[in-house]
Amino acid sequence: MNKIQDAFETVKASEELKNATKEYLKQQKNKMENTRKTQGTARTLTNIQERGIESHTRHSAVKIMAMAGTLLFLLFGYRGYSLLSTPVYYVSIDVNPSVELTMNELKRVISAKAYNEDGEILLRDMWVKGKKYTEAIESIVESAAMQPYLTEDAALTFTITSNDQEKSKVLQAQINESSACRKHNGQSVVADITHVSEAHENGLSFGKYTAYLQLTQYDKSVTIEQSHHMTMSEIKQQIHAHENGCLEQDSEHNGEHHHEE
Amino acid sequence: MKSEEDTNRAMDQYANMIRRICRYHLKNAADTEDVFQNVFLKYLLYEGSFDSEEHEKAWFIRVAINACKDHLKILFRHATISMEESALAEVTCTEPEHKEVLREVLALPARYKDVIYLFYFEEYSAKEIGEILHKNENTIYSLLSRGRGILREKLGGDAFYE
Repeated sequence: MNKIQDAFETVKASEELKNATKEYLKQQKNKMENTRKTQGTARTLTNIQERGIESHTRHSAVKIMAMAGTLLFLLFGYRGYSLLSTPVYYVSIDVNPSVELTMNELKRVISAKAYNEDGEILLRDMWVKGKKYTEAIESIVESAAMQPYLTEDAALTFTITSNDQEKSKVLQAQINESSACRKHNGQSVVADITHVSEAHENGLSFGKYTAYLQLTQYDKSVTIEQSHHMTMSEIKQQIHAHENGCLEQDSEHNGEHHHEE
Repeated sequence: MKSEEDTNRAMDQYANMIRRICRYHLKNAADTEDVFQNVFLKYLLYEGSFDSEEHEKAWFIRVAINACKDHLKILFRHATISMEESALAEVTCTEPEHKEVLREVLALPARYKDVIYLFYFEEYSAKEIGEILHKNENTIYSLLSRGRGILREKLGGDAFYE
């Protein structure tokens, strides 16, 4: 046995710590089960209310008020549900890991998906669903799994899109201000929302796909397949090389199609 | 959600390991309790399955290390003394001959501690550590070598073996 083993062998979890943790887990489990039950009871009450309305036809005023109440409840309930679950913003985070966050109107994450193996490894232990975008981005960028990729020449890129260009730009500005972006010299791009489905059909995150499209403006020979094996830094370096080359030869290529900062 | 039986079994199996990881990252009983409980809460809520016991153990190591680092980040924002100082201040509970070794391991820069612990205590290979920490094998070798160098400098040539 080595000395480090000897030294660490003396460090053990006390029975107190284990028992306190068991108790804590029991409480958390009960809490979650109670929340589920409460949600179930709320649904049952709504059903009872609806059935009651049908059987008391004589009390028309009560019936109308109850129906209006139910309608309002359903409308607001639906609105609330739709506010929380409808995808509004998409943020693609690409270095070499490529992950995409889908967020609702409140900029809370409703799904996180990886678009390459490095991204899958990154998201494996991560729980970003329900988190505010800043918190989710920070968790991803600052995670231990991301650190090996954040080398000096890495190109941490945030690609943002939504149905509304103005909303996208506001989110872009907010992401630019985030500590995760500033600390690692991240770049941000606002992309066209049509890129999202096109990118997914091609098995890429829409951030990487947007960069790929930019590269193909200069080099039509680059294929989607090749872009799968390129890091963001490699794609960006090629774009910059072409941009520099084109600037020297032909100033017409100055037309920028992306809002890059 | 995992059953109580599952979490009790995992606690019997991994509690000491999680405690050790917390020990070299956090060193403070209150923080350790927070992170320790958080790791097992993540396990309780984990919906995935494990291919093997080794896979499960690696998951616990990764989750514990990440939980410690996340906790340190929060502490760092509010800290008035450095974590290294607080770490050293609490190395008081072990046998004298182990105290010095433990003190020097705890004093290592954070990036070396995980590899030193996993290599020397858990006896993982550099390749396995790379897989657990999602780092390149060569990076692990270089972290190990630098960490070992620091410990040799502090503890002398026989730093690792009796």
